[in-house]
Amino acid sequence: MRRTILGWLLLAVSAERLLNVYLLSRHPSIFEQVDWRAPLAVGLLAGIAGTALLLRVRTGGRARKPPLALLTLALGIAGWMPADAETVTLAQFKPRDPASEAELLATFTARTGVRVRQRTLPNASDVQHQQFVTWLAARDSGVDVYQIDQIWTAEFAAAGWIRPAGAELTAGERAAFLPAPLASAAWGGRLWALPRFTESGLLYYRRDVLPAPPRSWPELVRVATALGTTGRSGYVFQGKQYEGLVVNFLEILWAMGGRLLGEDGGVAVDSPAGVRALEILAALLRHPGAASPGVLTYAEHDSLQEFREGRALMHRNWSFAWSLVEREGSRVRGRVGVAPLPGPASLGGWHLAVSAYSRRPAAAWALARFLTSAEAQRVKALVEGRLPTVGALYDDREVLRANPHFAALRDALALARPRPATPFYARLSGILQVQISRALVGAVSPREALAEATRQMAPLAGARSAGLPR
Amino acid sequence: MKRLALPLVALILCTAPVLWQLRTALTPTDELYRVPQAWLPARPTLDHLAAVFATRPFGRNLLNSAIVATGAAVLALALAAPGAYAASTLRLRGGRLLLGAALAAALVPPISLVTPLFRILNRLGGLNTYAGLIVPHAALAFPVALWVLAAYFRGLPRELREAAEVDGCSAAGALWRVLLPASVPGLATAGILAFIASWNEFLLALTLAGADRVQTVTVAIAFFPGIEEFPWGEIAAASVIVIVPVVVVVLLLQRRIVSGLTAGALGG
Amino acid sequence: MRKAALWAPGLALLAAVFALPLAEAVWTSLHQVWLQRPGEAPFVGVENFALLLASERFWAAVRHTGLFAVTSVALELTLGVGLALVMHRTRARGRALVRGAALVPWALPTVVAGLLWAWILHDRHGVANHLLVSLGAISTPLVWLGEPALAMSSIIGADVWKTTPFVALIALAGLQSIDRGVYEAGSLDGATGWRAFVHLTLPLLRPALLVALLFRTVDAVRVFDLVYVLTRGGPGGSTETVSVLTYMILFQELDVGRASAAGLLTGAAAGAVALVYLRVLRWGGAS
Repeated sequence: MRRTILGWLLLAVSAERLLNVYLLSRHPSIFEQVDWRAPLAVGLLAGIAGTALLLRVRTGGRARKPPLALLTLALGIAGWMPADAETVTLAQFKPRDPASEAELLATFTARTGVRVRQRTLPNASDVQHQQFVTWLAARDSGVDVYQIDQIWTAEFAAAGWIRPAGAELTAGERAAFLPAPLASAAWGGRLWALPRFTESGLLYYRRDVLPAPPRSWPELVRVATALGTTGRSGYVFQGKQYEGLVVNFLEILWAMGGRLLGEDGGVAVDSPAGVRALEILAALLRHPGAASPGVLTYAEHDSLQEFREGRALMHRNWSFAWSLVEREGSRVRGRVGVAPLPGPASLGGWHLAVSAYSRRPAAAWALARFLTSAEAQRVKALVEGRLPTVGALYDDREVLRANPHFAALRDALALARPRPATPFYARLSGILQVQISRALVGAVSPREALAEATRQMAPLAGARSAGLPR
Repeated sequence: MKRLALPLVALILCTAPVLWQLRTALTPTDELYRVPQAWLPARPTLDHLAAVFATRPFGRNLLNSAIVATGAAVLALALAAPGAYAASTLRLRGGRLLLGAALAAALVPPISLVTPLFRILNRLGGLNTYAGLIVPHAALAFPVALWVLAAYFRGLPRELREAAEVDGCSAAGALWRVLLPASVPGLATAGILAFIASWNEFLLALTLAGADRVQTVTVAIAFFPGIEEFPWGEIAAASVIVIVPVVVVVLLLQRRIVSGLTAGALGG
Repeated sequence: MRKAALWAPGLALLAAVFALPLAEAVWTSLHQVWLQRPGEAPFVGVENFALLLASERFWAAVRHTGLFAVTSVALELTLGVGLALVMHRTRARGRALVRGAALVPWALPTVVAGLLWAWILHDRHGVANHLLVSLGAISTPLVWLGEPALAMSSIIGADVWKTTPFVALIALAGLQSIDRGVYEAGSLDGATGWRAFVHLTLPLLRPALLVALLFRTVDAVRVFDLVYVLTRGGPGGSTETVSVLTYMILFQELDVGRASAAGLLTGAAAGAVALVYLRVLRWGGAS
């Protein structure tokens, strides 16, 4: 009885594995990337073992020779697995269009003979950060190329987790990149990664309701307060307690003339400008209808949903939101205007960095250079609407046709400000998030919140690399 | 009719949230974000359910969870049964040491285990393998399994325990041939508790087995939301898919679970 | 076969998985260890502990954890006993269904339950608001996860929903082991209905309830998954529990030393609670 069950179980496993291989073979570009020999061998082995068991049960153990022969044959086939071709592992969040990404990687393999294994991570930035930190701290060589959020560049570089990129680019190649994203990949005077995607904060607004977008933050508050109702609030942004809240705050802080870290590296947020910036956010929450009531629980997705469903007049989000606003299913399609924020916008983006523990740095750099080349970025721009980091693509006719808003964005990108490049950015942000959020729920006044944040951040500021403060 | 009221209320309170997820899973995306929410979708769709399997290796995740949970339960039982026997029936010093150690282990917050275990497994090459997750999960489930079995053995009739010893069997023989066959409910309870503990575990599964091919269901679902999208529909679909086998297993085995705890004669 | 072979393998498993990390945690808690600087680890004695105990954020986390643990365990105990009574009294045919249904919340992965409640409690698309507004209980939708008091209540509510069945099961087992004769004798003395419950049932349930209390409190002190999924410790850090803080210290600040110290303190607190309960259990068990 047990043998029968085991036999059927083995056959089930075999069927699943073989089905897996069959389904994979339908996608040639993916097929190249994935190791299909192992599942095939397992499938065959399991199938033969299962059949042998069942046959044995049926024939009462008399038929020994045929199953044994088949088993030997299967082992022989399984043994035939060619030596592992040079493989490079890329860790990234799931591409919006996996097929085009797979094709890019297949092109790379075809040209260089280096296979690429993808390790997909969730889109949530903090979970990626946690995973990357765990792997790198353990000197794991399982990943060669990391797609990192640009705010982690300083942190990873200071920790010695990624290799410098300076030698990998010629002067001409460097000049091809847009200055702002390239600068965000540098730290301590050296280049540490190659910029792949870039983002900038933008103001989306209902141009059928507002004749012109507000030119200053106080004006935005006035407009939101005057025109916002419970059914359709004035302004929706990212108010959840996470990194996005810091981004929103910084954009207003910079518009007020303030800074997070001063010239000397000390904490400078506890200034009149800082208090004004926080008071602006608090004012939005005080007046019913000015900001969406649930804004303190919204990250990018939820706030965008509010705007897409027509429940907000103005919305701050990254540049990727444009395609989603205009996508089918959006209730405000065709009625949305895009404008620069009433002040400096925040720079976002993702870079490709090579792990310091990679066993194949040359191949890894080759992959990073390929994926950040104009050719690869063009594909991404056309298929996913991702903002390229290569300047020339903003004049490319086809790219502009697919993404008409890119023309205006190029200038906006030049003005976008990166967040402070310090190895302790995650820590600073963590402290600031909590205090800003406390002020917004009304637990403390903006002044107290910034004072407390400064108190907690002070030991960190000014520390460039070694000498880790408490 | 009155007799039915309370059980019905209990039933509704326990299952209503899950039924809402089912409704969400069947609602097309454009209806999902309408306010106010309709009780039933106007045009139910299976798109989310299909998407869960088509765009993600969710079937693989389910299989991984099943393999890890079963392995953890089996390992935990295999070690807890003799341990409980030593502690409760034979009253060996080592057995009581084991009980104390298990209690101490149960107090450790999982987050303290994450980084050290990652480093250890990394050196041993056990990251992103089934065994690398089964062993920690078994250890996490071990204290509860040990306690349940110890209580259960204590509740067994004395004649049974004495018969095992008198027979001239070795301790292990007594355990294997006499005690265990009589303890199937207790074993089932302990096994189910261990299985579910492993099935639900998140932090270790995330850190030690995060790679696609060994990813468990909890990690996979936690990975659904992202910066740009929060696919509530797919999350609901995945939740429902996870719930269904759980409901089936639980309905089939609920009597075992309860009887296992009952016969354990709690107290003391 | 040596008798030691019965308990030694179990001990080996615990040692392998817990002892080494625990030892490492103790070691790192006494040194300044940063994930970014694996090579350097100067000895700092109890500085990590001192920093934690002097930090307002830590004590806030302790308060939040305490509030969460006490409230959720109290609710789970009360509702659990109630649910157990219902399950106990249900006729055989309905019993399987009710028991099975009651076990579903407990058997769900916490992450799944967390996402489930995040959706239900969403201020716009959530059915909780929709229901309450239609029933006229509230006039405007509440932002469940956006206000400190509501957020903590939501987390407690989600935890109660998820874990009451577990308590109910243990209470049910206790109920089923009570001899009917006790009630018959009691009813002769005039103890029926509510009085029977208070004076007969509850005392006899004590061992079972204390066991449930023990497990639940120890778990509640270490709660992480639910809080992380629902609020990440917000808004304004108002739901940050000690485990969430430990996570932030480890992965935001990359300070392994302090994170280990926090973990050890949490474990010690849980241990203290467990000791208290065990003492009470032993006293109660004697009677």
